Amino acid sequence: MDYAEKYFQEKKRKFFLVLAFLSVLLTFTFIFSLNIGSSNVGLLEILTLMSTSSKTSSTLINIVYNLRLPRTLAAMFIGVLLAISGVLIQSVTRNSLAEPFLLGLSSGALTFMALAIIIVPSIALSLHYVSVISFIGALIAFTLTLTLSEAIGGSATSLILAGLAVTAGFSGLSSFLAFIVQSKLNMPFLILLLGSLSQILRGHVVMLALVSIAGFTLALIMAKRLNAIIYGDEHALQLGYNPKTVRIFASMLAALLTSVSVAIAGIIGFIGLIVPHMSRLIIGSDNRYVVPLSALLGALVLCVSDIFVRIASEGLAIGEIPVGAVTSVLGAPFFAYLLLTKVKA
Amino acid sequence: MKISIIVALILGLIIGAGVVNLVSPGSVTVTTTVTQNQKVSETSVSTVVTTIMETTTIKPEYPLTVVDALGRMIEISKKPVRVVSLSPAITEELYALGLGKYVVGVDSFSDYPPEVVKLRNEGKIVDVGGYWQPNFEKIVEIEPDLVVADTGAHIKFREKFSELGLTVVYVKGGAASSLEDVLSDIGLLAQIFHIEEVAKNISLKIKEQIGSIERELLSKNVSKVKVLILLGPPSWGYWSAGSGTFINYVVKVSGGYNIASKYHGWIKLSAEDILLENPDVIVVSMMGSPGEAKKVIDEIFSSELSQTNAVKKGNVYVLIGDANNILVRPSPRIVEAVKLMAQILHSEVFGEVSREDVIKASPQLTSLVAQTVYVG
Repeated sequence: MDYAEKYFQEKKRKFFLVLAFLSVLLTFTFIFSLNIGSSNVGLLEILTLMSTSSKTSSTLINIVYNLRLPRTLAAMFIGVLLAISGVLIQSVTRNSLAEPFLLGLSSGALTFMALAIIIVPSIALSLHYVSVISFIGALIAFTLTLTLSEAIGGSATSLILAGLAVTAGFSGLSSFLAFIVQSKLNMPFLILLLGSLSQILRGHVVMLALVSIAGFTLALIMAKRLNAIIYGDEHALQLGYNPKTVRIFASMLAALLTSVSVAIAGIIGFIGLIVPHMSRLIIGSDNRYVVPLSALLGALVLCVSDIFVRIASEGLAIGEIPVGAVTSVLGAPFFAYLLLTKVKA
Repeated sequence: MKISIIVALILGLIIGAGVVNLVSPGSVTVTTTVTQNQKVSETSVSTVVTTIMETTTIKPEYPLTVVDALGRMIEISKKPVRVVSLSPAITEELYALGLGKYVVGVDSFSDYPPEVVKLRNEGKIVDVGGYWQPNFEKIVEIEPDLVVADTGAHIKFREKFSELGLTVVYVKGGAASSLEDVLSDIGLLAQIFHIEEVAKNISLKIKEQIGSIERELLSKNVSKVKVLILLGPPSWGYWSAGSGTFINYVVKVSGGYNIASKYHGWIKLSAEDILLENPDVIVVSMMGSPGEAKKVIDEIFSSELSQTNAVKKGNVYVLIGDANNILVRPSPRIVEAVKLMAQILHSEVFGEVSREDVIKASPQLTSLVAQTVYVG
């Protein structure tokens, strides 16, 4: 067995070990998350709920199935969406600092959503229409960022600066529009500015599940192509892939995943930055490994963030803290650290 | 490529299992069928009763259907005995109707009648979270058979409530903007409990009392007084209540002209706007202690508002505690609110206010301002 073959086998073994470990961890987090809430429903009650069907169990079912389970699953699926979107965007831009929020996709999605709801209020009733609109917004924002980045030199730093400009513009606009939606149409919209999982409905979870499974599968199928374009267009052509097609398709997928998460839970930043980095740190830069690991880690990170939100909100008795605030607090120092290491070098 | 397909399959299975679990909460469906069966048996019993006593018209009291403030048809399957109120105004309405004994949960701001605070401290009534953001888990946990929500703050929770299978009736509550709104809320709640007579008596009494204040104002032929209402200390900005708010209604009925009434809803006035209107009376409605109220008066006397007639005449009132509550809360205590405002605006007719929770600018302060104005 030659060295390369041995190295490949080693890596494969490590990957499956990590995958198994993360799956177990995620399962525990999932169960723990079902345990967290302001009522006195604990793990023991949940376990007995599954075995017996006493009279009080309808309340238990209500609390677990209609409040805690949708919220937990939503946190996990949105984590998957954002993490995979991060992997895709980083591959497309060949920039490890790229992220759906930092490049303006999230704010663009929210701006278009708010605009559409102001023009046609009844659109807010259909999650599908809202998602389509926010998808268009995310795509436009991404295109704007890429164009602006090209115009100012096309370097790694210029992409981030362009993203900053686009994000600033759209987030100002979306704050303004969100205020109008909230006060004129009496809809819960301001909450979306900083992302929250407090108003998740069961119907939302089904859509999140479908989109994240589809997104994950597509990203995995594209993993080799993404690997190829990271090493340059010529490399991709040699392998028989059209780099332009790959890039367009990956960008659209990233925009779709981001926009669905924004449509349901609002802007939750930095998951798409932290998670792919963690995955690469563990397993290297091969996207065939990075995509599944990021999916698991994304679910884990956002679920843990939301558990933190629920415990803190309950403990401090100040009402619901937006989960987007928590991920930003976690993500910003990480971003600063990346700037120090990547841009300085 | 092989690895990736396997991984995709495994993860897909894990995620898929979760979804299937969520989509089909079997036991929930079971419970609903049981209640429906009960309903059926109830109606069949009542038909038996009506056939036996043909001459007397016995109408089954429950189930009954009411139309709530959102215009929705809500079916009440039996007389509610575990009621959750999501706003202070609703809590007051329930207690005024004598339904306090059925209240098992209230929002954090409900504090009247004092009994509510006592029972909440004893843990007999559950605090179900803030007015703007109720805690769904707490609400579900205490198993209410009726939740009364507010068309102002809670309209956005409609879908979540129905997903949770709660029987929710919306009333105007904190969003009520007139006597009629308060009375229709009381009427709707009474209808649910079949105590329409009680509601009728309350309505008559309230209408009578407010009518007598209005007649008094008419007979004395007093002119309308220009009022500036401030919500919170002026350092927060001049937040006021425009038309379509309860406060605006109270001012109007009490013989006042609310200078913010040309705007709609809650608005922030500019200093220029206020000086142009030049109010004769300033009423600050806020939460806080008498000491803080005095500080707010000092603040007003040293601000640009010192140019107004209200400050020059010393007609600056700060309402705290219960005086604040009755003014901002559309409740059955509406008569008290109108009386208080009438006293503030027309003390020559109704006598000076003497409540501990109403703090008036002291005469010394007023003379001091008069002097500085003179010197200036």
